[in-house]
Amino acid sequence: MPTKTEPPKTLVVGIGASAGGLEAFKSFFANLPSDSGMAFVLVQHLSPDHKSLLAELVARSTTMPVVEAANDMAVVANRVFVIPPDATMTIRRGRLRVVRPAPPRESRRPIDTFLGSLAEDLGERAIGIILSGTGSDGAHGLAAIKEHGGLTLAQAEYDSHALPGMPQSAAATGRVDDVLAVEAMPARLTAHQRHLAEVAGAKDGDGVRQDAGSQLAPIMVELRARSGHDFSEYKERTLTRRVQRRMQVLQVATPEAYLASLRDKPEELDLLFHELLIGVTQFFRDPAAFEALDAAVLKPLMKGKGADDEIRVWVPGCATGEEAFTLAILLREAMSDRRPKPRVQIFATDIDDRAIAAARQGRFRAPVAGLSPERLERWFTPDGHYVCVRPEIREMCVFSTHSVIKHPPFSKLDLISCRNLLIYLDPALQSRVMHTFHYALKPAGHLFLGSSESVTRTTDLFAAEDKKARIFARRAVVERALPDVRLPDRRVVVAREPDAKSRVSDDRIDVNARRIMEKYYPPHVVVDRRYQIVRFSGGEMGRYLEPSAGRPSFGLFDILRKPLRPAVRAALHLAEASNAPVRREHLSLRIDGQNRLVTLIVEPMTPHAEDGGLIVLAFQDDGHSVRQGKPGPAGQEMAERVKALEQELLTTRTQLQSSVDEYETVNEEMKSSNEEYQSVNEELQSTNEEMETAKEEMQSVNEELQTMNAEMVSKNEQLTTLNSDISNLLESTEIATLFLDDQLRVRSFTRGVSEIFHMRDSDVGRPIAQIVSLLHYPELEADVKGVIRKLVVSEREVALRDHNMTFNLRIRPYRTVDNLISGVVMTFLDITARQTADRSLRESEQQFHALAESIPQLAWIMDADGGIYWFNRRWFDYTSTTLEKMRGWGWRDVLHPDETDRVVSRLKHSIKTGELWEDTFPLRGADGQYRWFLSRAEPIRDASDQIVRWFGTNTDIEDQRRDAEQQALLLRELDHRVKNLFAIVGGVVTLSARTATTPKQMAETVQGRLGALAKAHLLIQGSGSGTQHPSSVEALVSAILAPYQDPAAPPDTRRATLDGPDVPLSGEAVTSLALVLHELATNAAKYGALSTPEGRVLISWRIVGAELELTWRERGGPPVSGPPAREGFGSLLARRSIGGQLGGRMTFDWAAEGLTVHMCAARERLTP
Amino acid sequence: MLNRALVLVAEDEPFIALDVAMAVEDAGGEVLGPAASVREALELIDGRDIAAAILDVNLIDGDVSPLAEALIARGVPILFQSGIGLPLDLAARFPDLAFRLKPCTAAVLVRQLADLIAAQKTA
Repeated sequence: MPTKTEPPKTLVVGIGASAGGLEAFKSFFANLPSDSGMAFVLVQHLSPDHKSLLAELVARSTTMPVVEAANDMAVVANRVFVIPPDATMTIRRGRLRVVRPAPPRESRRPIDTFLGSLAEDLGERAIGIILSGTGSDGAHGLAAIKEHGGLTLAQAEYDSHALPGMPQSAAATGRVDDVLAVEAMPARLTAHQRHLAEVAGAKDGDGVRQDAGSQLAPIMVELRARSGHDFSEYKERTLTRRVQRRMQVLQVATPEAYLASLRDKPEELDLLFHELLIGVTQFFRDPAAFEALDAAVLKPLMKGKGADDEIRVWVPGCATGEEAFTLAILLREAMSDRRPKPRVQIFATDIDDRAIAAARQGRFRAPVAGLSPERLERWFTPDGHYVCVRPEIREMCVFSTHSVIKHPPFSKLDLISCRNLLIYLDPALQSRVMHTFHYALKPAGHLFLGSSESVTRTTDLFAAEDKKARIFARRAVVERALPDVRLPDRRVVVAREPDAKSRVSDDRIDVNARRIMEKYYPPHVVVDRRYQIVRFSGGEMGRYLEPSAGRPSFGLFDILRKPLRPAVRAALHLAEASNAPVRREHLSLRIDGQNRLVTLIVEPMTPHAEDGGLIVLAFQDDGHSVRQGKPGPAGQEMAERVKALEQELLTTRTQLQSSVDEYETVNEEMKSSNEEYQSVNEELQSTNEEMETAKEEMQSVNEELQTMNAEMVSKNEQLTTLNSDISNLLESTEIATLFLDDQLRVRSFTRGVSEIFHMRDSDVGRPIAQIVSLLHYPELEADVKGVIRKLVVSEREVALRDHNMTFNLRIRPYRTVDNLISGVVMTFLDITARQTADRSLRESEQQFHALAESIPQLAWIMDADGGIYWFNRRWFDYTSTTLEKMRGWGWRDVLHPDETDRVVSRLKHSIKTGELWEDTFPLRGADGQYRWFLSRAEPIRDASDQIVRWFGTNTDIEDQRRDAEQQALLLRELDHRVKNLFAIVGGVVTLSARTATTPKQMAETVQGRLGALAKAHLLIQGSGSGTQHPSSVEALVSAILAPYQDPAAPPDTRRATLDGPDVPLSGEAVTSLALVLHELATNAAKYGALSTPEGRVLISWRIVGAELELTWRERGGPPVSGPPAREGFGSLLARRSIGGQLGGRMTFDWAAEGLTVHMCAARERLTP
Repeated sequence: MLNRALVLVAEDEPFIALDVAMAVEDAGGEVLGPAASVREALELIDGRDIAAAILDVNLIDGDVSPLAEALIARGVPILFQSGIGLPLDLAARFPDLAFRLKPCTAAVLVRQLADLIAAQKTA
């Protein structure tokens, strides 16, 4: 609230600019005299951690002192104050308040903050200027200044110094009084200052001009004529301030002059109109109140609401919609976890059509005040420098131009949020609006007011639920009428009330007594004020009544006998008028053919209102009429005259009677017409109310329809684009596409179809059967019908009649968006090229198979992932398996289990890297035996170098493998033998050296022994084929003794005679036996039988049990003189050989005729 | 040199067996054997106090390993000689076994044998 205790004498100019506003500041001060008498406060968007040079820079362009603002610094004229960095600055009682640090960047609005405090502190002495900059900061501050009577200026858009942003935002709010170039602003300021000085004398203590109010009424009349809105019941002070402000802006001195200018320039009326509507609004204004509202009203409201329920909220005076969207956001958040969601309607109304137009856009300049970053993120979408309300929030709100005072209200509302509107209205209007709200709310509805508003004058209608947050609950009051609609009382007194009352009190004694007394009563009826009979007495009453034709009626004058009616009517009227009993005697009535006199008594019942003014009518029979029986005493003439008069009287009476009857009938008709009119009137009234409600609904519906229409227009545009996209797509696919409806009529087609059917655009709508087709496809219709019936896609190949083109035809059911079948889509894909390719592919495949089946290898094809899907016949022949078992990785089944892991891992490695695969492993054949295979696989790549498959073979290498093994074995054996041979030769040499005396002798001995070894070797190994083959005892003995034999000599002259069975010899034993025989032969040649030409050697052998027994017998040699003194080396060697290696024995018999040697050897040693 | 030490000779090749036996005897040792088979050698050593052994790796009844193991168990130092090398499992189990590749001169053989006996004694 403005503080008026110590107002500064000077005007204070708050200037806001963004960081780039220095140039604008400079040109502003360059055009300003240094003794303007005004104080200037510069507020700039400054980086918080950056030391500002602003004060120094501005000081260069003005002669005024420029100071950086400090806390509690007094604002004085002819001085420039500059906001320090990282601070929030406000003004209070003419002194600056500087608070550090500034709030975080996203919520920092230093210009709004300062201008807001400036407005409150200085009122109309405040001037707000927005220079260049970005963002919406400043808009609210300007609004506040304007609201408090100050002047607001913004930099013109075309100004060379301006950045886009701030000034537009300020101007966009309609809260800027003038948009000027920076250079022109100082002049405007001084003019404003001068004007204020001129009119200062006319103001009261609060700064309100006393004279401004004088022309208020005519101004309001003008305004109503222009805008259609009546402000006459707004608070006079508010109106005066606003008018006064306009006068100041226009620098008009007197109200009269202002009125004149209004009449000259009707646009000024619009400006005044919007001036009056100035309101500061923002999202979540007064957050605590909204929190309380959310907890106390919105959340409970949401409870138990389903999809069919509706929540209706009215926001009168919504301005640019922030309050309505705030409520929408809160409601949306409250139902975020609800499913199904109830329907929410927020009617947001204002009389300011510009504000409503802005609100409908739901577009707000960023940064938006009052919104938390979470809500901003969740409910708004950024749009350049603006944020837009998300559709789900926008759709909840219906905006319309509507006056809470002038127009009928909305109805059946759950909540009315009317904040800071009532403060502008005078108490009477406030009260009326409150009644309107009361009427519009549902019984349990709530009212949400602004922080300075209350319901003090209408506490009977609303009860405070949360005083601080200004939440009020509607009280249940019987009277529920629209106070604004001045209609006659709709309540009609119900005629039947007495009827109901009469049943109440009677007790039994009364009833019985009355029944006894009834016969002594005069007959009577009780009627109400409308002469409806409510009681009959019974008894003689029937004499006086006479049912009339037509509908039964209780109307007294309907059933009273006609002769009585005039008298009764007159008496009733008199009784009613006087409210006293009336008695009429000697009424003549003809009853049962006799003239009788009747006394009529009419008496109103107790005069209390609740009895409804019932009247009792009683009839007393006074006996026969005596008049006729008593002729007058006058003479005959007299009698004649009397008779004539009576006759005349009778005639007149009859005439009167009929007139009276007629009048009564007309009267009754009038009455019933009247009643009908009354009820029609009532009906009309309620219809009227219904119509008004309907009108409200129609307005909202209309609003919705307009929004929807806009949406439909944009949807339509989208559809057009989409349609064009689709037709382009269809053309570009070059797939001939034909759409048929369910009657097989052409719906549409693409250009390609005309190559297949003779079809033109004019054929659309014709049955397909009537169109000449180039296809050889008689089943077309049947197929299409089949697809429609079975709803399955049909696919087949069709050829043109001349066979030069083939198509893949696919017939697919045409499903509409709502999944209904409406005909078919036929696509013709040209596969002529593909078919040719297919054919050549098939040929090449056949060639491949022929090749793969003819090679001796097992062959197979594997896909890129390692699954083998084809094997040649040889594979199945070898493994005796089936493709089913072998497919994929099934072939591992025939792989030797020991090799599986290694083979599989190496193959997988190749599959991964694409390297050539080569491996050897055994595969199980049909006989269960494994054979080794050399396996190779090579990748086959496509054009993009991607492996598409592998081609592999397995080559049987079992035989090669076995041969190689054999060879290795032989080589090892050979190596062993050679080494052994060297060892033996070594032994031969050393041993021979022991006995030899001369080198010659040594050489001979060695020669002989090696010769024996060589012969033995030759016998065993054959001629170097590498394989041992068995020999025999005979062959060995012959070979050893060969040097001593003459092969040409006849058998009987041979030196050696062999005799024995065929005993096979093999292995190492041959060498030992050969050595022994060699030693024996050498000894014999040196000393024995072979040393003389006559000497003979007889060698015989036989098998005895498990032993070979061999006898060496020398004869014919020099005589033997007993065993030698020392055993010869040869015999020692021989003995050892036999004893050791051959496991046998050896004995020497040195008889004189010759040596005999016996040898035994185990047979098993000879033929291992 | 061998100082009447009793030396087992197991060798199936007569020339070599004789050669080795005579070399041992020439050096002052006494020869047990030569045995041509493992079975024969095992019979010979039964109950005899042997100073050392010269073994061929393969005898007529096969691999010399059982004999070698028996000798090692009795702490008899062994000198192997072979044309091909020690049986692999034996070499693996007794990596310190002495080995000579055939053919070798008797003098070298005897000197090594003497070293083995001396080493055994000091051990």
